[in-house]
Amino acid sequence: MSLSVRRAIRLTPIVSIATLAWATVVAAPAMAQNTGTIRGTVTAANTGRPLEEAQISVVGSLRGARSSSSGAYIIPAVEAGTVQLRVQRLGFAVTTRTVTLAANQTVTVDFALTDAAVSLEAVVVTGTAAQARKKEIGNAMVAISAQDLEVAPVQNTQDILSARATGVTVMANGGQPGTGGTIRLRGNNSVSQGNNPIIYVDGIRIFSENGPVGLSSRQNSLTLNDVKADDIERIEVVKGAAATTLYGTEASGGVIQIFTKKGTSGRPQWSFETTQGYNELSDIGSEDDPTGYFLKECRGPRLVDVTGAKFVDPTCPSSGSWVEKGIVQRYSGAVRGGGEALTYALSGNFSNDKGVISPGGYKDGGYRANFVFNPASSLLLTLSNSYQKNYTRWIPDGNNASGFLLNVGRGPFNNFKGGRGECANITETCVTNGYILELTPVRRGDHFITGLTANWSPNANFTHRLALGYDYNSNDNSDIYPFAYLNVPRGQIWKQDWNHTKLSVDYTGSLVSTLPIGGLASTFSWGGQLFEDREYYTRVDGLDFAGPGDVTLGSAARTSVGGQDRLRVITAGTFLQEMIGWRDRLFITAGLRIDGNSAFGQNFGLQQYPKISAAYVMSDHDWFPKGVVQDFKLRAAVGVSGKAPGAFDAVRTWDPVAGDDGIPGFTPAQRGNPDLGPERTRETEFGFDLGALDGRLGLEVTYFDARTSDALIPVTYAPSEGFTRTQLENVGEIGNKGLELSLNAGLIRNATIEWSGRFNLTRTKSNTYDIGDAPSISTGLATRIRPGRPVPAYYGIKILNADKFEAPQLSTTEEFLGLVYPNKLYSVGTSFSYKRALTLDVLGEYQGGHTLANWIGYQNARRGIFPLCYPIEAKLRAAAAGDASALSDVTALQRGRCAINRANMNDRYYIEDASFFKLRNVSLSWSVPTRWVPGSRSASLTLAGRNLLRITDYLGTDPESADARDAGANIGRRDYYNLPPTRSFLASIRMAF
Amino acid sequence: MTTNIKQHTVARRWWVASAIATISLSGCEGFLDVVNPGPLSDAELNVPAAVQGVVTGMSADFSVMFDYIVPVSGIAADEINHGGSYTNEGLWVRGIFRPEDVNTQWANMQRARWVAEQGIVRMKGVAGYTFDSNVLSARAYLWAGLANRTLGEVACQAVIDNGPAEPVSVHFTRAEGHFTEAIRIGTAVGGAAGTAVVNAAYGGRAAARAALGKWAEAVTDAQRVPTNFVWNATYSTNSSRENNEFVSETWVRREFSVWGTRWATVFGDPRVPWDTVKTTSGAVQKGQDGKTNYFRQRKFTDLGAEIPLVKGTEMLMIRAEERLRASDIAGAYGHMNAARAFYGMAPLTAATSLVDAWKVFKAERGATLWLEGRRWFDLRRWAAESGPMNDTFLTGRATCLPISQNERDANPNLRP
Repeated sequence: MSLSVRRAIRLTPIVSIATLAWATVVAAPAMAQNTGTIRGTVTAANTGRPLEEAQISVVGSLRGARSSSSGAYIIPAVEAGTVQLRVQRLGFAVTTRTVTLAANQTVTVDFALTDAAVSLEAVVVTGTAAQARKKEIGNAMVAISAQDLEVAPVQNTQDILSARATGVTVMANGGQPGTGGTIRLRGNNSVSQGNNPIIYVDGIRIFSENGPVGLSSRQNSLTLNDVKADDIERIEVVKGAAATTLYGTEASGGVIQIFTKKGTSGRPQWSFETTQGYNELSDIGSEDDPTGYFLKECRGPRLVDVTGAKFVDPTCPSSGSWVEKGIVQRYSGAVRGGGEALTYALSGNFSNDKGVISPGGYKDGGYRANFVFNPASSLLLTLSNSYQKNYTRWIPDGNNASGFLLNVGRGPFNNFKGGRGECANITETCVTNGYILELTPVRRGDHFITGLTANWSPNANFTHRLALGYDYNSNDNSDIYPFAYLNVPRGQIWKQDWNHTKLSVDYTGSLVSTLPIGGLASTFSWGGQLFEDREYYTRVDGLDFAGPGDVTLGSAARTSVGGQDRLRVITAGTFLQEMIGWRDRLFITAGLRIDGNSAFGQNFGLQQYPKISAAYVMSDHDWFPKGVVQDFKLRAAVGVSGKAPGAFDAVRTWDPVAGDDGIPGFTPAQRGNPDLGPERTRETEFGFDLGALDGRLGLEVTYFDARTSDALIPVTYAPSEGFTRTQLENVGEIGNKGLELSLNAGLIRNATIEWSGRFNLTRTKSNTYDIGDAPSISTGLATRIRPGRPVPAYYGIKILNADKFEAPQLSTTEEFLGLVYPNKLYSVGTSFSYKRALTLDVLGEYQGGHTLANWIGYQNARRGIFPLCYPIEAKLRAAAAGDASALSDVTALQRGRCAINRANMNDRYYIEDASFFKLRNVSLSWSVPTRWVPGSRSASLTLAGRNLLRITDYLGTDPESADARDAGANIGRRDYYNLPPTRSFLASIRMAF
Repeated sequence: MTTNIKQHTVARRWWVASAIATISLSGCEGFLDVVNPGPLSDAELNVPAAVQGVVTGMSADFSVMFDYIVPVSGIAADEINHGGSYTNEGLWVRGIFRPEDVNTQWANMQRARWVAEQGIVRMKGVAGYTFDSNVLSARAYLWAGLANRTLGEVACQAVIDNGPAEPVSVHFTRAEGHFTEAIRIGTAVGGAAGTAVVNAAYGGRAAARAALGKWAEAVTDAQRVPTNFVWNATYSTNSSRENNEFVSETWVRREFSVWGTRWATVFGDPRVPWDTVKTTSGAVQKGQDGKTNYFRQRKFTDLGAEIPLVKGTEMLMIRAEERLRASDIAGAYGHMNAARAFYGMAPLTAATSLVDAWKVFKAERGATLWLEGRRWFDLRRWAAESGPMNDTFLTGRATCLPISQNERDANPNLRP
């Protein structure tokens, strides 16, 4: 554990105690007021099922509560008098009830919520300045509730987003436990500055990019996954600039806001959960290659190259396969409770996920402590802390001379031969891949998030929110080639020490008032944010150990510093927003944000981001026919947000280097551009929300059109001018447009059966409008952006007659070969519950329209070790020997891919259709009768499977596989000897007491 | 109503206050000014104390560049074979050089030239730095000359500072000028450091002048360089950027092999050291491609191995070639045997014909400069000659490195 984290952890209880002590003092007068208590239960009207995590609030104050797993809630210290209680929960209609309460009285108010696939009265906060009802906002918003997560066998938090919302693309990248995925909201709106959405946890912004790529693992982590699924109450996602304007610079990739569970007044409620199961790798490559690139079979007659020459691996496990079942163990516990003014939610977690290649695995443990202090009806203080510590033992992976799949998959053409005597009496080519695994790539991560939020509402219409946040991420990566390692006999160690802190101050104020004009109301909001990011990154390489044993950098006879970065970036901004409502059915919102950023060029000033939106709830009119459709809202929004350049992009710089054997010198670094500013994404979206059949049917449709102008394009200047790196310039214009459709249907809802279905559709079309003077811009890995084409796409020599049974005809120029990211996302899910005791949940996802560079296929084919080429190459050889008929069923594409003359092969022939369907989740959950678990309030047993079915024509390892170079700002993708995503079978037991 | 107005007033104060606070902070001079350590601003190099670093940077960038050029020109000129996994090298070894495949090599050559030439301009303007009496100035000119010499020998055309394409003789002419200045300042400075630069500059100028056809002047310069003199591109294990990566590519990755080249039949020549590596089963180790026999070069054996740029023995080869061009076989053999003697090798018996003498000379020059990034240009210029000088190895193959695609795309003078 690093010193900084230790200090942070030491400070946490001090801060907590100080806060609570102060709050207690402040609260004392409040406790003495004339108050009463409201309590009750929240259930589903149709089924009588208790509803957990319903939000019950006293309208016009900051008093409120959340229901427990039994649906019970209690709100103490409610000022005596007549108050309005409002209850909301995703999937149900918001219900408001008037309650009269005397001093020292306890009133019981039970709620039975009716279904509402579209709940326009629900309160949301993301992208809205202050709290707003969904009916008031002009943009689409996705909310995912805890209920969706309970039965889903999610491996990590990124899985929660997968296939559950329109416009959200989640690609797993790899199958090693701990691997971070790629998340895109409405595609790519930036060529160079990353497209990860920004992430808030309980109103505190955290670092949302990926950590550093491990040198041997070629994978990295995603900080989002440090927020544990068990702790999440709900997630709000806003996807485009029209909705994220108030977040300003850096928000064009969208915003994901996670709300964690808070405490409930009353006696402590304990809950425990354990999950046991395993990961397995069954889908790798084509079914026509049962060896799975020799991972699934490392012994036997199928270990041959294209000539039929055998090879053997005496280090192959006795099972005959490198792949094994990776045991999964997860445990979590939580306690929630509280008194009149203070509630708490404490939780802890531990998991140990083994990978499918031993000894790979991921251990993770941490805690979350949320305190909510409500000393007065006008003041609410929330202190949230979480800490996760994780340890990833990677398998060397990807583009790496010691990569496991790279060597295993290349059969006799690997880098590990000879072993330590095992091959002495073997006449065939003898490979010894087992020794690769002596290389130890490890990531030790720490992630600490703390935030203090104060909500102050001096009266019902006037609110203030101040949030102070601190997010600390660190990665301690080491890759150790031990002494006597087969290919590095004297050993080597690579160290990467990286940490990133984000300090934030966020203030928002809001005033609601009735205007002196018929039926008009105003909600005026204002605020400002300050973010300071600091990043430290040191790389050191050590060579040559004196002997075996555990090593540190000090064990190495020679060390060299690969580099050290210390970056600091400050963003400060302010905004104001006015929403005018007419008779609570038409809402017009206009806002403006102004930002400054330390990375803007010196000639560049503050940046303005405007927005305007409208929401019109037609169904609130008396004339609206409500026979079938009960809720109908039209909405439209236009907004702008941006992405800032990097810390040094605006300045002409020189890098310090060493030359002449260790003497310091300088080399050109960044050309610089004092006029550099952020790129601006302007998005227009419109659509409608429809609720029909008495809440059983919900339909949301959105069309969006986003254009990024002043796009930060890495421009290549003439190398003859000395600077060899690209320079970011505000020269481009790119865009994304698309259609999103979300359909939710409560097919059957009664006390015996609950059956619901959901379908999401997203279609996007990406386009490049302008990239300045250059004809195209490379985005790496055979991808480029070109005017008139998607961002990014593969280009290269194309076989024009790919499907014809004839010799390949090649294009004479580089041709468009395919999209890199899917432009069709469909997901379908259903949930079936019988007598509230048995619940079956199924979720499938299709991603399509895109391609992926199958360069494991290309590299293997070049070496004559791509089994799918064996029969084709045999026919090509037969034809070369004079049997022209041998090629009668061999297409031009097959002839190109498997050419006997390797010089005629081209990696672009392996740009393949990567469309796929995957059965993401199947789970069966049983509510165990509480009498079987004495003392429990609820108990459940869930059997679940993830990625149970894969349908694809893609021939590489997996259509979701990608080299870690895809992380962050790199938007090219390739499948290059990565261990692919796995299948999981899990059994979970949950108990609440 | 009154309440609302009051609330508005209060609210306006709040947002105005927050807006003013934020904008003030944002606009406040220095608030958004962040000093990040690491890279240096351009202006920070304009002080006398930075001149040493500027010149070291020239050397460092040259070494990085030359580390790329040695294998590229080597596989283009049959000095070494490609037996590895790299796509581009697989084309280059077949004599296929496409503009889109040489962006890195072109950029590194141009950077080495630009850094040296612009560094000289910068150094002349640094207040407090006495340009004409500091050996650093001589070294800067030397690196500028060597960078131009390399561009002249490797590139097909010259492009200077975003300018139009010109004949490569432009580079040799610039190199000649830079070497002349290095000699002038180095001579003025004197001492061991000055003398070393002067020797290297004479050697560099000899090669540049030979390339320009000024053989008499080339010989005059070559004669001034002691036979045992060597000026190297520096490599080191001090940091990864200083590594001789060619060693890693040949010793660790087995990407390149002597097998299949003319040198695979040359045994026991100290100028062309290589060996074979066997697996534990006794078979010849294969290259990274799993097919090519792995014959390992032993000229550079560790990551800090220097690569010669100017050698006294190269000067003897220049003098030998000048003699052959004058049909003086005996004179040429005299110089060749002097070089052989330096390497402890037995003298050669002079050939009886110019044809045979040229064959021997080409082999001797090739061996003397093996894997030093020079032979591609030798083959190219000999291919342009007629008679016994003519060489056909490059027939049907690329004779030089084309202007890179990045330069073609970015340079307005090169766009169609």
